[in-house]
Amino acid sequence: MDASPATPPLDQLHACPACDLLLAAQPLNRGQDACCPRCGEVVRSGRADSLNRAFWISSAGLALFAPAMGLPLLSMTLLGVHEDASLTEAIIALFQAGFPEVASVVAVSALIAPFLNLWLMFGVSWSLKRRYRPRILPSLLRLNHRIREWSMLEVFLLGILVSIIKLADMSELVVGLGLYCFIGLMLCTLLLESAVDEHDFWQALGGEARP
Amino acid sequence: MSAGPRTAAAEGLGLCLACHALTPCPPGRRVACRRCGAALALRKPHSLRRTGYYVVLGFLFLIPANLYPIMTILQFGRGEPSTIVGGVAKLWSQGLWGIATIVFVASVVVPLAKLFGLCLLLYSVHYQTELCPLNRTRLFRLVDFLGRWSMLDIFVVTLLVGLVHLGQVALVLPGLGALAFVATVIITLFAAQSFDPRLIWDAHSADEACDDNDSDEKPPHA
Repeated sequence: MDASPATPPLDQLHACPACDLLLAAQPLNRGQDACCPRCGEVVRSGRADSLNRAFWISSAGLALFAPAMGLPLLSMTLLGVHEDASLTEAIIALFQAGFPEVASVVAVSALIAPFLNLWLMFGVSWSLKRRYRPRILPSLLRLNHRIREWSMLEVFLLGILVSIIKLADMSELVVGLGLYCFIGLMLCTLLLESAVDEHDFWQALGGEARP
Repeated sequence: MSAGPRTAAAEGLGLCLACHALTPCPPGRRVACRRCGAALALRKPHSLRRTGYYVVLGFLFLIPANLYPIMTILQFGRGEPSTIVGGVAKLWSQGLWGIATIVFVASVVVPLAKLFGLCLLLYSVHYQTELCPLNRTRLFRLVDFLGRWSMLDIFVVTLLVGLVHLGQVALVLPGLGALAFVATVIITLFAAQSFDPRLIWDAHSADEACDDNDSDEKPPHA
């Protein structure tokens, strides 16, 4: 501290989450990423209009949510017997087969976490757009941050692909409408991570007061 | 530039891992983030010990996950339980090499690589080895990114159990291996979460990145 010039105010400093290097905050253009010079971690990403983007992307995701979870993803015909399954039905079947623990983990990672992620982003962006800042907003944003890494829709999509290939030689398979909705939903959750910078939310919250 | 770049911890500032604001924080203590109120510390508390416990637990669960069958596919009442590796072997024998490779990587290579990678990171931080910190950070990023893809086989089992229940004609039943495998995946996810990558850099002076860069710091001979 002695050899250093006076430390700038805390709000003008960043620290790299991967190596803890102190960095001076700099304005970013849209599409620009600020990387840590020491370890290369992306510290900030400049995104235009994060609030509006988050609002519309999460709205689209919520519209697709019910059909993606409730409509059949795949249907198969074997010796004239027809069978189809939606994501919700598959989780319930696993539950009934005597594996409630496995079913719960699948439910969290493919249903509950994406659902909460979409609702939290929708709710927080909506209220921040209207400049309405209830005291619960920071907790909601924090919850969203924690829940996001448990949302694994992209892994589930690869799982659907593997299942299709496994079943293809056994029976006739038809892709259901639910699968298209599911792909759309997955793209929405991925966009919420890449096209939106969470930091803009914290700045819009503006709770930088207490020094 | 005599001081060089400094770390937040050296300045007594703790980074909030939720909102990325900086808050003054004494070493070894927990304070509330001044912006979002989350509990924060200079480093994740007991990071190495907790990660170590999770890694050991992960290795333990990996054994039943691979010994017990993950599911049974019955066609006309016939069929045998298959383990994770058995399922990959079947896909391979059917000529589906691409998909067999994907499943093998997601279910066998990734969990093992993740656990061994974390072991290496724990060892290198605890014994302050000379391994390049930049490469170790890259290793941690890889471990952190890959972990979720291990859920692949569990999702396949879920879909097959949900789809294929045609009684005598065809039936898919989950196996005990699925339970152990889910436990492994969850435990390794927790292990990666509890590891603090900033510990990798703490033994190094703030401005050196790799051993290659040492030459820049030495005074020129001429």
